[in-house]
Amino acid sequence: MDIKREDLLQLYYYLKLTRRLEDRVTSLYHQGKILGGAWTSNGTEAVSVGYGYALEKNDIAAPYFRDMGVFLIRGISAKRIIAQYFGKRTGVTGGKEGNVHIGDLNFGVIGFPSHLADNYPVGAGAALAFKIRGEKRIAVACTGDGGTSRGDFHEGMNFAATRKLPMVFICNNNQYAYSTPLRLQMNIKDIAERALAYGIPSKIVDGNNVVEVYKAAKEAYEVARNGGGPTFIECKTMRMHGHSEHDSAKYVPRELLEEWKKKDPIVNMEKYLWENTIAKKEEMDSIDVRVKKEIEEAEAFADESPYPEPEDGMKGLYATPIAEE
Amino acid sequence: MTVDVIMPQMGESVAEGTILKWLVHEGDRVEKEQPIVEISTDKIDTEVPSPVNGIIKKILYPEGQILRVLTVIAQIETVEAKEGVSVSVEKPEAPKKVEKIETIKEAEEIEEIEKRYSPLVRRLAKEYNINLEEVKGTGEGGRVTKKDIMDYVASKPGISAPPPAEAEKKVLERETLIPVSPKRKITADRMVQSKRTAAHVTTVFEIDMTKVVRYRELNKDAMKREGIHLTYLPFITQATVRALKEHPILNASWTDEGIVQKNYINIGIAVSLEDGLIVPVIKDADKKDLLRLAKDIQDIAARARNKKLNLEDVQGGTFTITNYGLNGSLFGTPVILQPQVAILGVGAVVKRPVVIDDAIAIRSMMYLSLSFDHRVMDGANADAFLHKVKDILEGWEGSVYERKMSSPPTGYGGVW
Amino acid sequence: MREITYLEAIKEALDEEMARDPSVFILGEDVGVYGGAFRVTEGFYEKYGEWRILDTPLSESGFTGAAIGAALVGMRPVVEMQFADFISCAFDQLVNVAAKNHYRWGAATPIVVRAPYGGNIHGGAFHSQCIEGFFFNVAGLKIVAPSTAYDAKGLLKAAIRDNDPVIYCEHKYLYRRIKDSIPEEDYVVPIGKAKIALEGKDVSIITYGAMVHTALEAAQTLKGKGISCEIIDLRTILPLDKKSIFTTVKKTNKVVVLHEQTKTGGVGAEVSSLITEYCFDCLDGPIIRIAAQDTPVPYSAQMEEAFIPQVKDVLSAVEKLIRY
Repeated sequence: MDIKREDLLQLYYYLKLTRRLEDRVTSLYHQGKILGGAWTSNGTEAVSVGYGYALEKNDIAAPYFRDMGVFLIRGISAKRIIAQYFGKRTGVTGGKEGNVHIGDLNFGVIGFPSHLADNYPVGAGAALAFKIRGEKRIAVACTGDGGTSRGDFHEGMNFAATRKLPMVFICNNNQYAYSTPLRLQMNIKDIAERALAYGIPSKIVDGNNVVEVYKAAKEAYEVARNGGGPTFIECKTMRMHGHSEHDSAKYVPRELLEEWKKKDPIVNMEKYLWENTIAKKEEMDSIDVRVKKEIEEAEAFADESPYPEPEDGMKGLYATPIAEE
Repeated sequence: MTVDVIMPQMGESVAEGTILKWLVHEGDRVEKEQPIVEISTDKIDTEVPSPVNGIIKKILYPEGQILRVLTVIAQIETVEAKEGVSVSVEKPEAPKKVEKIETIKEAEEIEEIEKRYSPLVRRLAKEYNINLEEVKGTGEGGRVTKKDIMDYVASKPGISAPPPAEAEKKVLERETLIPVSPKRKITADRMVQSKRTAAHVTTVFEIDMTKVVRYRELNKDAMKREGIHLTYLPFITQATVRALKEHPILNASWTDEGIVQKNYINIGIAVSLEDGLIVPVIKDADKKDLLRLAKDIQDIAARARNKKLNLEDVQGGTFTITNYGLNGSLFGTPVILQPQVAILGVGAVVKRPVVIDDAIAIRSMMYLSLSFDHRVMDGANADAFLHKVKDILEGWEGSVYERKMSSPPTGYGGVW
Repeated sequence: MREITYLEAIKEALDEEMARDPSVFILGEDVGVYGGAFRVTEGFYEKYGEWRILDTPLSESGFTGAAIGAALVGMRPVVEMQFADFISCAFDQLVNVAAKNHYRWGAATPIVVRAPYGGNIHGGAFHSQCIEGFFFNVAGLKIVAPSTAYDAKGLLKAAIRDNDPVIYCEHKYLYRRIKDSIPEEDYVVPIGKAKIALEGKDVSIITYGAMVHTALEAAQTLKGKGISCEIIDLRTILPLDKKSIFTTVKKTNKVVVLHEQTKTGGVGAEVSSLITEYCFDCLDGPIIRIAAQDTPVPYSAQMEEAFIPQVKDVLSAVEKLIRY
């Protein structure tokens, strides 16, 4: 499949934007300016940027907490995201939720709980609705290697496969679930083997190569869109930071991190653009400048934004409030 | 012996069944497990087998009959039984029911009931002003019940009906009870306390604001570019500050030791919010020029509205300005904010015909009402101060009057 | 007006809502070809097809999650739990996803989860539980429990049209045992409003579900003894209709709370606390709770009868309270 030059540049832009935003959050976290915890997708950005960018506008994403790239691509602004990290009223959820717990149906992003793989059946449900209504839309759900041990991972895949729903399942296999390495999580070599159990075709891609992820996702989306049922895509990558930013990840062997540092997804993309003469250095530099400015402005916005009122915590429980008489 | 054949209950929620077809007749010999009738329920159509070996003694209902489950539909006489003796099957004895009500029993063991009055009884006694010792209790253990109280009341004509219960007030249509917020309570206390402490007198001056209006017109666009929405308040504040410098008795506090004159001027600007008033303070207002005052006033008003004021922002005021003219009021009699000794009320700026040099002209007029503490000063002091404010405002011109600003001001050092 | 059973009322509500609104669909185990374990959806498969009445695999968490996902993109799914007891398999999706979506990120989740609950049917521990207690403490959910065919139809329609997740507790014992007259035209019973099942003045019995009928039977006997009972049918468990509860307490000053759920930490505990907190000065006696004994549901008929509150228990409690 040929990818347009603009799309390649956009993929690069989103990789840089995601990295910059999360680096900034990490830095702020170490300064004590973040309310609560901070989780990033450092080192695995190519997964979310790849599968996020391949979506059509009307598709639905059911991401998890290492999918910052998806939020940004779908249109949830960096301003609102940083404001959410600060617990401000202008954050994505107005202070009701914090850090990466982001969801906004105006941008086709389903909010997720902290319980991993709950989003697999939920995403399948959205796909079910599309199939019932005969719409050419698809749903995609993503979880990490950790999430694949939970019951909902299996129930969601089984449901989607049985009904041949227009759905794609992504797994961000970054090799560690908090401190638990793959060998203590499963007795199989590739998580993609699990898809076999449900009769779902699977692909294994290099999770640090955004172009590969993008291509695989795009193909899978088309299969789903045309009634071919779900696909499972396992993205092999490495989590470069701890589980969250408070975790120094001492349990990860240094050699493993060194090895994967050389395969950084952004450096990979720069090499790709450079070597294939797709982009000039000035273009890549100007993207860098643009990204820096965007995140600066987002942070300033978040800084100046007001906090919510304590009473706001009582609002919004029901969508249909009980009528007073 | 006679054995009953019952309409079976097939399925947890089935309540009825229909007899479809009898497969035997009265008098037929049947064997155990032999189907004797076909029935239909909501869930299933099935055959009912005979429970015993015997002879069909009686068929009790015809085909097509709908019956409640567990109804006896036929009877079979077993061949083992002796002729003429029929023994009905007894149901096993149901075990004794467990006493479920333990609460009252336990309570009984705790105290004597007659001295224990329920919440309702106590309330009624209070409302009717009854001594509970005098009321005879007919409840369990001699307890005084609601009925006992009401009977007692009926028997004693002197007792009057109680006023409607406090809680009912909320429900009466002609009144609504609004709970008092802490802010409201504090404001209430302060207002009353101020009136009780200071000897409030209010003096009113009429100000011709035309020159100020013109100045503002000329400069407001330039100020807008600076992010300032220019109102009359910075002008009035500046005039007030200059007048206070000449009449420092209004920038003081009354104490038992004497009148404490402040050597700094912190002007409080009253801001009206949804839930009440708040008075943030501009510190060292005498050291600020018009532009700076305008900026500061705008800033604290915005922060007050966004609830972003700090504690220092509302402390240390020496003189207060309250701009009720925003609501359209022409003049008022403001209440002094303790421990200050005066407060300036600013009314609306309204175009009116006035007499100047025996001719009628249309001018922008405004009333300034100064409430002052007569313990600290006399009318002469107050009026002298207010006269100074009037002179400053009515003569608002300087080196920049009538000259449009060419470029926006760059800092606070400009001469105005 | 015509008479239908409690089960027919539920069936009609589903049928009418599915016909009226194409976004309504049903999913659950054996609901399609088989017509549902209790035959509630009999005939629906032939009428609406396999994409509006879905036979799901045995995975409550999976298909409840799917219902949530479909609801988020504009559908109105009705999930059938084959027995209320299996709702615990979907606890995580209901409590952490459905209940919290709107509060956390403003997304309405209009699902209805039908739960055939209650005992007295020789079902044993896993086919007879009352499950409203598991979710009573979860802010964001709504829980309803009709006791008559009229309310069953009206509340189910209200639940389907409501934009929040509603757990609809349908009592299996009542399915074919009770009938009601219902009007021809479309009607809805509002969520959050209790009903006075019987007006009275001496004692209030606050109850819901099948126990309403137990209370009514007891009230009949008590009437003969000169005791006038007021029976409040809560109809909605979460959120409770506090106004109705307080009004009846102020009226009679003596309260019995009756439910089939086990006693400890049940809905009755909350009702009692509310009354003591807000109507303390109106009480002329302690609040008595009658509820199932604190054990799993036993199987043998004698044990189950002792487990579930009976008419005798209500008579006993009311008479004691009247004498107090």
